[in-house]
Amino acid sequence: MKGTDSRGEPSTRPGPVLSQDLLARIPLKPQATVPQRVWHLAVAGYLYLAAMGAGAFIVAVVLDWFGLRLAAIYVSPIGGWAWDWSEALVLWGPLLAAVGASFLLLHLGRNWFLFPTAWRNLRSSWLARGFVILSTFIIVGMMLAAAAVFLPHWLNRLPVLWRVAQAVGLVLAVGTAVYTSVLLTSKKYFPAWTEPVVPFLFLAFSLSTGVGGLVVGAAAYRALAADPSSADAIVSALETAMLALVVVEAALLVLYVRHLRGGKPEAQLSATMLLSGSWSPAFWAGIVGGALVLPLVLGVFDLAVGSDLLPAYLLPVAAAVGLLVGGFLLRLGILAVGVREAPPLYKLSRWRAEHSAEPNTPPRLAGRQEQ
Amino acid sequence: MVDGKVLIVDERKCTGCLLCVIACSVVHTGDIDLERAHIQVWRTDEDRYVPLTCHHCETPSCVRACPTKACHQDEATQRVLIDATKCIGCGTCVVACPFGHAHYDEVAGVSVKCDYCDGRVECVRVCEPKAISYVHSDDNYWVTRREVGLVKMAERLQPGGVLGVAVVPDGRPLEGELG
Repeated sequence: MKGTDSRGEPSTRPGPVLSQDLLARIPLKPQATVPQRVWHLAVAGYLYLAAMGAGAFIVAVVLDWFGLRLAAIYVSPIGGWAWDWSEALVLWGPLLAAVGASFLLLHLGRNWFLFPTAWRNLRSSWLARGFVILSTFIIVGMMLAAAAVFLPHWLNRLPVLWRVAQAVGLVLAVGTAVYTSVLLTSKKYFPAWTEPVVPFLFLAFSLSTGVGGLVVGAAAYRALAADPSSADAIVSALETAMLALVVVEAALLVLYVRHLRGGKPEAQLSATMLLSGSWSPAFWAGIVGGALVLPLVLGVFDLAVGSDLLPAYLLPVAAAVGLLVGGFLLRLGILAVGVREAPPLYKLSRWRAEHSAEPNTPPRLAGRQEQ
Repeated sequence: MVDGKVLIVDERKCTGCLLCVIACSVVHTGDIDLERAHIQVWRTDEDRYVPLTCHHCETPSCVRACPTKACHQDEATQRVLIDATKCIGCGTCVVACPFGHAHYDEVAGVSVKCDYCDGRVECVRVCEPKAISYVHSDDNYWVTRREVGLVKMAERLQPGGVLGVAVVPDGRPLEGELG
């Protein structure tokens, strides 16, 4: 019996004839050219918020160690002792990370309630390692933030203990930032994720978005505090740090795109999607414009010319918002353009299709191509 | 070593009829929902069709990536299985698989993959061109598979060469048996 193939064209090979309606339900596209859709918005939100929370915590602790801290705001809704809310505005990283973890729960399937068992494969699973690191960071970080809010006078009496506790939180925050940076790199069959520069790019963005979050926190402090001058020194330091990080990020992003364009066919496809394809508006307007150009221009203008005529913190906050939006789009964009590397047999088929007229041409290997 | 039988594919015979996908869908979901089937069919750049099943890799990336050990390698058969009662649906096995075989079943809320249906492989039974076979593997399955892969590479580089890697129990290329 002569049949038709799945495209509805006559086939010389025997086979049953199926309805075209049924066949049309599955386009037999080569899967190797389709971006993955398993990890998308929720996972991007999870990684972004966890990284931003870790970055914010790292920067806040380092600022504190350099003596840059907000003056206390004592407001006690209940109880007779002082609650200092100023620290809550800089130690809110663990809370962000907790919100991010809830995004992961939204992503999980039927057995989402089994997520506490996600530590069982620490030996080889980065997700399991990340679960442990992130959970510990959230718990320890929130305990530190709570202690800073509810027991401010105790912390002043026990400075060494407070420093040690901060150091423990700092180590966990660094671990969280590293985890969110290397998780994608560990999925080694997606060339857009396994570029060596990706962990450094994510690490830089976790710090810069953390800085952005702290700028917003300092602006909120200015609106709440009676004497907001202590925030000025912090915002000034954060602006300088933001500028430095943006320059580093720009260099890393250029390096990343260059590597993609000169890489495997799937990496080149990812680069095309980012630079001129479906993700180009997010890349150029959100990542390049929002996260790099805007903070750079506003930061240089604020430091060089000043913004006395503008409302306080308008430029730093605008730069921080651009950075925060761009940072999220970077996570989402790199996830969304992830194209799985073609399996060996598929590469072979592709090569034969391209070289069917030239059977003696040597195969193009799947490694990095010459520029 | 893989114990018992393995699924093997001769892509020269596949017509892309999707009967295997339909049968797999009915067996595993009770309905014709092709996107939930555990077997998939790819079309290559040469307009050939390749039924894709799990390779049950010797060192499975999905098992290494799974945080809950729901995705595991059966000690007795060395087959790679997903325990649906332990799978949290994080999708890490899906992005870890080099072949893109494991996928997330939106309806079931867990990751799924080919598990050989405990030996009752419906895809093999319905495949009229006999492109999919379920045959005994020998004790040297993995070693033989690598050797055959190397030996056949030169032939495969020619237009029209065989894409699939397949062996029979004594290690001879499968195409000789089916051809």
